[in-house]
Amino acid sequence: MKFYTGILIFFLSSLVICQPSVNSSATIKVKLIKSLKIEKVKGNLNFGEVILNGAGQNLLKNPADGIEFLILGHPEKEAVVSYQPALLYPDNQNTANTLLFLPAVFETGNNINFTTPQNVKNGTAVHLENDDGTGVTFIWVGGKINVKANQPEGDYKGIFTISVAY
Amino acid sequence: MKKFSFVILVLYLIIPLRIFSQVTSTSARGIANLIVPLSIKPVSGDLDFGEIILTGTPATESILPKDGKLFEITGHPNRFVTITFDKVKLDNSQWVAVYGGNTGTLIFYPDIETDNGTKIHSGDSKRLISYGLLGKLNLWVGGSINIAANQPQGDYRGLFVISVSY
Repeated sequence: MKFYTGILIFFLSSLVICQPSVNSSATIKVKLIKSLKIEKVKGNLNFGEVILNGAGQNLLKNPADGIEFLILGHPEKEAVVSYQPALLYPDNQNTANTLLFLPAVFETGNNINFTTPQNVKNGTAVHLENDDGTGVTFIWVGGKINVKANQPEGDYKGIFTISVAY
Repeated sequence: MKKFSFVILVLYLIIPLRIFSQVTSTSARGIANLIVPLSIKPVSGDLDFGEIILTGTPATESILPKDGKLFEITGHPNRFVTITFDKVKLDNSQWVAVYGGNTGTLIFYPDIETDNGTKIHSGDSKRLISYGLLGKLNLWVGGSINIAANQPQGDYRGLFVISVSY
């Protein structure tokens, strides 16, 4: 009887040794974010010809008539929009006689038309709405220029820069 | 019927005792062969690569083992265990189903170390360090992924599985 019990114990201990492998797991996560891009859709910031009349005047450009940009990025993410006023210099580059362009920036979400625009202040975030796996928001830029009473005539030009970042 | 039940009950009580007593009588051999069951469990950390902004150029992202997920193997002291694991395919199919866009895959290449920095390769055999009646071995799991230049955006998921056996 002891012999059989010994066989049984040997068999059982073999079973313990042959314990099946045990395992554990972990979920691997990666969020690949589409890089940001901003591109011009249409329009310009050309204020045209202005006749000096000896009095100060404000030149206005409605954002709907200005430049339309399209921000492309990751769907449902926020993108921070940054911009600053731009100095316009006369042809002769006389830095004493500049004009200041004060931008007015609006966004219309994924609407390509200037419908229910929302003001976008410098440094604030816009939401990129999903369009088949790409986040989009349309940005509209207009603004104003104050022309002094004694502003010298000439062609004034400047660069307006708008930036987006996650 | 009551008598029969009583006999059954007596047999039920006696037979195991007899077997147990027999086992006890040969315990010098049997107990020596019994080993602590093997287990592996997650202790801390994760395998989350977070947000990675796609740049349009190939890139490799890594999680160092010490910054990844810690697994603890417990079993019989000083006993060798075999550790097996495989690379993992991640995909963004769930994300694409929600947001649209293109599906893509990534391969996660595990990088595993012990507490003292010894690299572990799949199939390696390691001795469990004795802590009293238990043997233990810590495995730190990190790894890397290669991101293609045209890798589709989205949330990628995959399951890393690690197995151990005596």
